[in-house]
Amino acid sequence: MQSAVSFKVAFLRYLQAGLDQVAGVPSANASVMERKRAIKLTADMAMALARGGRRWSRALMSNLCKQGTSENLPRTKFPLTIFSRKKILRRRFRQRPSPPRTAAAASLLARRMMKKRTEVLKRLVPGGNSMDDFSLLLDEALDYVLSLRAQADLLRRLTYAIEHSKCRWVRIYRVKPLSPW
Amino acid sequence: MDPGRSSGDRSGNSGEYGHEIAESLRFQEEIQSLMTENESGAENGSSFTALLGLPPNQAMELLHDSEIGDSPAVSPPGGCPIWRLLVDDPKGLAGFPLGTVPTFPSNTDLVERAARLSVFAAEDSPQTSSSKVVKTEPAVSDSNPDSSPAREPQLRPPKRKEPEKSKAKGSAKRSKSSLEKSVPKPTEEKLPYVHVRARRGQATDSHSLAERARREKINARMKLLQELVPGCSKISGTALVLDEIINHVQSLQRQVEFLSMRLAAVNPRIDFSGLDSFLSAVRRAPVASGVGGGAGPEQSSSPWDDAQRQQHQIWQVDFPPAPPLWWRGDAEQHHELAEPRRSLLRYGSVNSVCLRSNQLKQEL
Repeated sequence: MQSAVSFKVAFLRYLQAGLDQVAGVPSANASVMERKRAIKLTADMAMALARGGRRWSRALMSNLCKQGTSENLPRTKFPLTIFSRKKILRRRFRQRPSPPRTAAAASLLARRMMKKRTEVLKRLVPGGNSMDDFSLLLDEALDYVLSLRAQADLLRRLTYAIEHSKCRWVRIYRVKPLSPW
Repeated sequence: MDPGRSSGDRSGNSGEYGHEIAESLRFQEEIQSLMTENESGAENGSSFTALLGLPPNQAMELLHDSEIGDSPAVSPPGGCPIWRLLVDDPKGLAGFPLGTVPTFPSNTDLVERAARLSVFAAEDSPQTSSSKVVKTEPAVSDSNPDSSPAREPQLRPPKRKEPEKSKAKGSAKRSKSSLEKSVPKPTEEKLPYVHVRARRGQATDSHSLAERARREKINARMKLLQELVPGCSKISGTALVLDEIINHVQSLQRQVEFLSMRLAAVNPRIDFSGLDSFLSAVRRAPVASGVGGGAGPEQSSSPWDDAQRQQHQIWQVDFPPAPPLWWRGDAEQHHELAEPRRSLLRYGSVNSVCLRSNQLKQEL
C-alpha cells in the first residue's frame, strides 16, 4: 500500500509540474485535440516518471520524448486514428477456421493463438518489443496495468474535482491556479 | 521559497505565477502530509505482501472486500480541496470502479515471493515433491544489461545439474516433499541458479527440468495477472486469459485518453511551447528510481549525470544531445519564460527524488 501511495504522490507531483509548465502560458489554442494530446503526454510522462525503475517506464519515457520533439510543432495526426487502431482483439478472431480435428492441428492452433496474443501484448506494453522472455513480458504487463489503473483513477478524480469546483470557468488570458484554492 | 522568488523575478504575469508556485508547493506538502497520515491509518492489508501471504481465493476475497461503491468524489458545494478528493483515504477508493486496489510490487522481491508462494499454494497434495527457488531474476534484469540471458542459469552446463539429478532421482522415489528443506534456502543467499526438484514420476533430464521451471514461472505470473484483471479468475486457458489482459490494457489506455480529453475541455489554457521545454527538461532530470540515495538539493548536477549514465547502461536508448540543442535554438522566443520554469521543474524533480529516495529507504 505504501508503494501505491508513493506512486500516487509522485505521479501527482510530476503531473502538477508538467501541467504547470504546459499550461502556464495562456495561449489561443483553439483545438481540443491538441490540448488533449498535450495533457495525455504530460500524464503519461508523469506516470512513467513516478514509476521510474521499470523497463516499460524507461521505454515509455524515450517514446514520449521522441514523440514530443518530432511531432509537436507540426499539427498532430488526428487522434481518431489512435482510437480506430485499437480494435478489440476478439473481433479479429471472428473468422476462425473450424475447430481442428487432429491433436497436432490443435496444438498448432494453440501455439499460433499464443504467438498472436503475445505480439499484441508486446505492442501494447511500452518497450515490449525487446522482451523476448515471456515471463518478463508478463511481469512488465502486470506493473504496467497497475500504474495505468492508478493513472486513470487519478485523472478521473482530478477531472471530477475540477468540474465540480468553483474554478471551472477559467478565462483564457488569465493564469488561474489549477486547484481550486 | 526559492521558486517563488525566481519566478517572481520574471516579467509578465509574475505575481500570479508566483502564487501558483506557492500553491503548488503547498499542495505537494499537503499531499505528502496526507499521505503520511493515511499510511498510518491504512489497515487495508491490500498490499502485495498481504496478498502473497494468502492462498489465491482468500486474496481475491481481500481484494473484493476493499471494493467501494462507484460514486467518485463529488465535492461539497464549498469546493472541497483537491487533495482530499484525489488521494482519498484507503477506504474511499471510489475511483476504482473495477473494485481492486492499486497495489504494487514495490520490490521485485515481492513478485518473486509471489511466484514462489503461488507455486507452493498450488501444491496442496503432499504427493508433489517439487520445490523451487526462483532467483531474483527481475532484480538482476533491472540492474544488469545482460538480462536477456535470464534463462541461461536454467540451462547451466550439466555438471551443475548432475548433483541435482541424483538428488532429484532420490527425491522422486520419496513421496514426501522437500518443501521444508528448501524453504530456508531462498533466504540464505541469492542463488544464480534455479533449483528444481523433479516431481514424482516425471522426467529428470536437464532440458525438461529447465522447461518445467520456466513454465512454472510463467504460470505463477499468469496467476498474478489473473488476480489483477477482473473476471479472469474463472477463465481457464492461457490464451483466453491473455485475451482478457489485452482487453483490459486497451480499455485502460482508452480511459486515459478520454479523461485527458475531458481535462482538456475543462481547462482551455494549454500551450505547446511549454510542453517542449517540459519534455526536454524531464529528459535531463533524473528518474526517480531510487537513484537519489540521499542526493541533497545542494548538488544538482552530479546525481543526475550518474542517473543518466545508469539509465544509458540499463536501457540502451541514446538520449542524443541534438534535441536539447534544438530546443535551445527553438525556444529562444520563450527563453525568459522557459528558464525559470526549468528551474522550477528541477526543484520539483529534485524534491521528488529526495522524497522517493526517502520513501524507498523506508520501504526497504
